[in-house]
Amino acid sequence: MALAEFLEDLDELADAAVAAFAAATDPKTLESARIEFLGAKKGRLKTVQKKMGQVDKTDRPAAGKHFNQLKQRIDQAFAAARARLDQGASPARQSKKEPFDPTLPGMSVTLGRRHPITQTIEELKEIMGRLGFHVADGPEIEDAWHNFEALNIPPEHPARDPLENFYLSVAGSNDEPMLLRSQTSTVQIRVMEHTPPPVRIISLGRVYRPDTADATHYPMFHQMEGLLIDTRVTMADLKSVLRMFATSYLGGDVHIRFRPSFFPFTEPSVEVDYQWNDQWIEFGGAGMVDPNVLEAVGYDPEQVTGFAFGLGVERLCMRRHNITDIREFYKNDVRFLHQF
Amino acid sequence: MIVSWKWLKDYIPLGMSVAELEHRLSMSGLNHESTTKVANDLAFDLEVTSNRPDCLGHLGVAREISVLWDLPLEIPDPRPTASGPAITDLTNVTVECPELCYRYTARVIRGVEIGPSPDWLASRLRTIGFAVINNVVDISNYVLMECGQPLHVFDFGLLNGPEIIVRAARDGEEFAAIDHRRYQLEPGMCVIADTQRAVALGGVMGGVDSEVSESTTDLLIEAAEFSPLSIRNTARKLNLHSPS
Repeated sequence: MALAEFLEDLDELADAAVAAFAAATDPKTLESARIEFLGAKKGRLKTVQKKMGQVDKTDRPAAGKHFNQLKQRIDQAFAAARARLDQGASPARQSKKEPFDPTLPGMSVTLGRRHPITQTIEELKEIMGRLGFHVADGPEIEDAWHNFEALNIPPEHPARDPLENFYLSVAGSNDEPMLLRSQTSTVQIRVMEHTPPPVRIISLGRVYRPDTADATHYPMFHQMEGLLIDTRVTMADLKSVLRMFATSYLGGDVHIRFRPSFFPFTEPSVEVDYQWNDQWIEFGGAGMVDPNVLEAVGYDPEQVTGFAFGLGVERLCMRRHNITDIREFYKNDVRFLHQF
Repeated sequence: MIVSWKWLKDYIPLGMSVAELEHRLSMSGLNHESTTKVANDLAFDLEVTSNRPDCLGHLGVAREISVLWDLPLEIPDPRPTASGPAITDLTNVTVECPELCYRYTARVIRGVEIGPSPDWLASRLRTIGFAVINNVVDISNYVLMECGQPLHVFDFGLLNGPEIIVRAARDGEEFAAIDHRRYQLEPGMCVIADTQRAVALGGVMGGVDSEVSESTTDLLIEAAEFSPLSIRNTARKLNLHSPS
């Protein structure tokens, strides 16, 4: 290709580019023009640039010099057009701006809310507090003694099965197996170990059981544990406390019934139901504390007796708010959580 | 555990309504979970807590009902007459590991014909969810669900000796169970063996090469009591579970 031809193409292109940029009346048009001329892949400048390879070798330095000059000219034209459009826009925008209207409502700040489980726990603490129960806490990672042995669950009992508990792969400080607690009864033991009777505590917290998650089960959930140890405590006291609790939480005069059952750490053991609209609904389990458990913590079963009960927190919360799927609590969906 | 209405009636007159029965059983510790209609019988699913093994069988549940309603309980009192030679002439039982097997009893029946069970037996097993196989297997399942005692039946002709030796398994001993899989045993496991090899895992599962088949003519019936711990550990280690 002759040098003259090449230079001619270049000049033509540069003129076209400058004209196009000058003619652009809004950013959109300018942008399309830019892509047409200065586009990195298919821009017309690029096309011409490629043709430089076809220019005779001796002419190439001159061609290149001219090319650079023209590119600069095109770039400047583009920059000028852009500046013009930007400047032109602002005065126009400003003139459209409205005066400030102070009668409009302000922008509200979204407030956080407590999780419904937390709210339920707080309420339960308050109700039981009025009945004279203090709140006790315990670790979620327990050793086998606190979670089983002290609760009258001997070494070979099926409740200890790895299929029924989340055992940790690391052992405790004395090489005993550690697990995520499967019930809050462990806190009973911890309190009784360090306190002489009388004891009047509740403990609320997370427990863990390997359960497939479905509408009514979840591998992690919350329990409320109650324990009362004193001299001459009877099952009538247990029933009274549970009835007062149920009445406080559910409102109205709520009746409680006991059904015989079995737990290793209580004797006798019962399952507790409450009556609601002519239906009996499961509340949880309870019983008189097994003498073996009292002995394990150093109490004298001939001197003191006591009762214990355990209720599921999620179940109470679901009942109160008509929630049908326990998994809603753990999805962390703000649309669900901010309704409480 | 599932019990059949018709079967319970063998031991106790059930004059109360179904709803009343369900309710009172729940209120006395056998939590009623569901009732299903099977053929023209009713199957009750009851939760038997681990402190009430006496209720693992229809007789146990019938006993509960008789106490709750103050009804007479009719416990069957079978006294089969033995004929032929004394069992000690035919076989021998030795228990070498009394800590794994507390008691072992055996009876021999000769000249049996394996065939289908009578309808009344088959329908009761079906009501409570058991598979119906043949008269011998069905009878042993029936007895289990009647009084809670598991039985195991061997083909007497396939036992070497023939005798029964109850012993601890040898380390690495091989055993082929009736599920047609081979298992490697460990010393803590209780094994029922003849003079040559293990023929059953005590309280867990029978062996395939002493299993009752269509050609069996002589039976050895085992009624035994094994250490619960041994049963559970063996079953868990080998992942072998059965209704017994």
